[in-house]
Amino acid sequence: MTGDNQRCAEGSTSNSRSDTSSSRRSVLKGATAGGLALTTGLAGCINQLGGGGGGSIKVGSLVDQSGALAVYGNPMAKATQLAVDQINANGGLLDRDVELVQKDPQSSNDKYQSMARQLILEENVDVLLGGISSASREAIRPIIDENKQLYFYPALYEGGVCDEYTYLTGPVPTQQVRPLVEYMLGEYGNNVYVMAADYNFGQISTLWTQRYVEEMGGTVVNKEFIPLSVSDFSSSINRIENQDPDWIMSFLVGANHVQFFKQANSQGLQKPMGSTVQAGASYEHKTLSPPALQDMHVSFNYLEELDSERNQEFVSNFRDKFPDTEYINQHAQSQYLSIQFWQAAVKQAGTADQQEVNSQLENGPEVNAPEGDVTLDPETHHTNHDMHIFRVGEDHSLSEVKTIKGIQPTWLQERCSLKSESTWDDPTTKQVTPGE
Amino acid sequence: MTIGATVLDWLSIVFANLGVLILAALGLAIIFGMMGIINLAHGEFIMVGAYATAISYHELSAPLPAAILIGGVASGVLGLALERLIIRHLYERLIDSMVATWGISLILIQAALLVFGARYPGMPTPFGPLQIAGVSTSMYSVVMTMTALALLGVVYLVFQYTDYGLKARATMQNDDMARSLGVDTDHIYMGTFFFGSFITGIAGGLFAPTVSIVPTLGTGFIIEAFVTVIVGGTNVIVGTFVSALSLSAIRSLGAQLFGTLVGRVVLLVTAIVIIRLLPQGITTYLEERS
Repeated sequence: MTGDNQRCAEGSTSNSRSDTSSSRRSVLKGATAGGLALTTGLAGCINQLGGGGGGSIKVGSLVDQSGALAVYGNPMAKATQLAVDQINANGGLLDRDVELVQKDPQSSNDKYQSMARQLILEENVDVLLGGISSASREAIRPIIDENKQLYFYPALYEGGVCDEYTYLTGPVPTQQVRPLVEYMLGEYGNNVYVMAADYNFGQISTLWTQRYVEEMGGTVVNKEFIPLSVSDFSSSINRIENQDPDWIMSFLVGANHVQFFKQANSQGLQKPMGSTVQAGASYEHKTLSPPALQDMHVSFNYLEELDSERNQEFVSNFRDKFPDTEYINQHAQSQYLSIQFWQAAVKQAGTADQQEVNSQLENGPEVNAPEGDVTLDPETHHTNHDMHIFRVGEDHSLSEVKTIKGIQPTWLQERCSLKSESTWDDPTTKQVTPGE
Repeated sequence: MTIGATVLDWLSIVFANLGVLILAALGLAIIFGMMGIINLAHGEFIMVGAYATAISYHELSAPLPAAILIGGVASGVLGLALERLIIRHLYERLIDSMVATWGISLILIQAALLVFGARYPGMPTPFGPLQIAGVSTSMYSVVMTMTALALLGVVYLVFQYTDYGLKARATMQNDDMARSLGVDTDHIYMGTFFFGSFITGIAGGLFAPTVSIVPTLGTGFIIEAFVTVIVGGTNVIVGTFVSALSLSAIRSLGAQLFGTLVGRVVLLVTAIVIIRLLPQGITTYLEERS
């Protein structure tokens, strides 16, 4: 266990470093603080080896609370706080307090990188959570891999990440796009028009849609990739009207793209729509005035409207703590679920040591999440979900039209074997795309 | 689809786009064309107008036209305060004024974030769709373009037929001479900055029902605003109109034929070509030829 000793040494240096900086503020306390730091550092070290006790365990979280992606991030930040507070209220983890260090990268990938470095190298977090856009995840993943940092990515995404240090608690296209395409083709017809955000998430999700639509005998009549800064859709709307598809698939993302639904409505475009982003992630059914999102169909592992006792309890805990919450979205629940998985693995491991926790996670823990009972898939580090398809009504109320139980990330399972082929010190860190 | 329908489609987009470009650029054109100040906080004056409109719409239940007017006044008053406190010290100092207004822009964005959070509730787009000859467009965007053209007319009347307009034009042509003839140029500058900010606030108010009310909403308009003003040249009315019309025509064509992204690219490439060939803008070229 040489790796352990190394991590332990790193831990103790960082402890003394942070105490030195506080001693700069007060010279008098300096000597004692330095002394204390050494002992806590050592104690932490011994305890880590022995398992349990010691100082606080640190959870780092990167969540956009301002900028274009804040709409997704605001509920996430609250969910992280809720999960950590609940752990501490129940006596902490391994009899240690859990300390949350949550930062706002302001929807900027540069800030993601610098803040990820800060959380990993200066704060020495025991686990890192967060990231919203796939671009932000890919911006920080090299830093995570380089530093062997245990990391949970909570958002729904385009799939394919196969990374020793990364766990993905949101749904992938096999789970989310496929059932939705199947439902929409059966319900509304074969001709599909795809509107997607112009970055890796939109591009790859569109590839998936094309593949599923063609497999099931439909046709993608056109696809458009829209830069995130665009908020004027008049020419797109005209084009959709001219090509007259049976339904529209939307991978539109962020505050600007929301305008599409408003503009389509005010230009009189009325088509059934499907999406893996709207409502459950960016809650347009709450933020837009009805009936802009009418006839939208979404597929999610979690929506606030999910009708189960456990979810009702989660929602009321959430809203008691944060009464001004606009909506509890997929991202927020996945952030909460990430902490549940991590907490279960830490308990199993009897230590917060990242490598130990990682091997526990690769045993496929099961937790009682607000969305239902979910398990981690050991080989892909992805999550098995029940999926729900909801339809948005004219008054923007949601009604469930279909439930599909226990979908595994099957496509990736054929291409990614982290538990059997990748190790902590000789890791796989790739992303597979549907073209491969 | 027939060619006729395609052309009609295109014209409907050009028309909608024209209004957006005129509104985005007009206030900037007044402040830049008349005073030579490059206001990098222009986008945030739009933002302030939009926020004031949305707030009065939601909190005071003001009807939309009144809310838009409140947006104009809010932005105008802000412009007035900033002109008195900061910008008047920076006339004739182009670079300094750019740095200062850029700083103001950052402060305003962050202030909006601190006060109102990442997103303020949006407003519904009124009026619904409009169908003409098989082409459907948003009634609100038609109203917006009509209002933009009316605002151009108002600006023309103010500068051409009012006492203030006469003095303003005199000040802009030669402020030493105007001062020696008894014009209070300090007040003229102040008034012009207020007027430009007011028009920008009105534009922000008109945009409010069509955008997400977020602190960075102004940055979505600022590139188009600057491109329109620079391509147009120094004549506020003719320049803004001609430039907005030609840019929206070419952008809509690109967008309709090849998609939204190409439309954007075409807009910027056209702007670069025009500035290369006519560095003083279209209107200066027209004036020199006549």
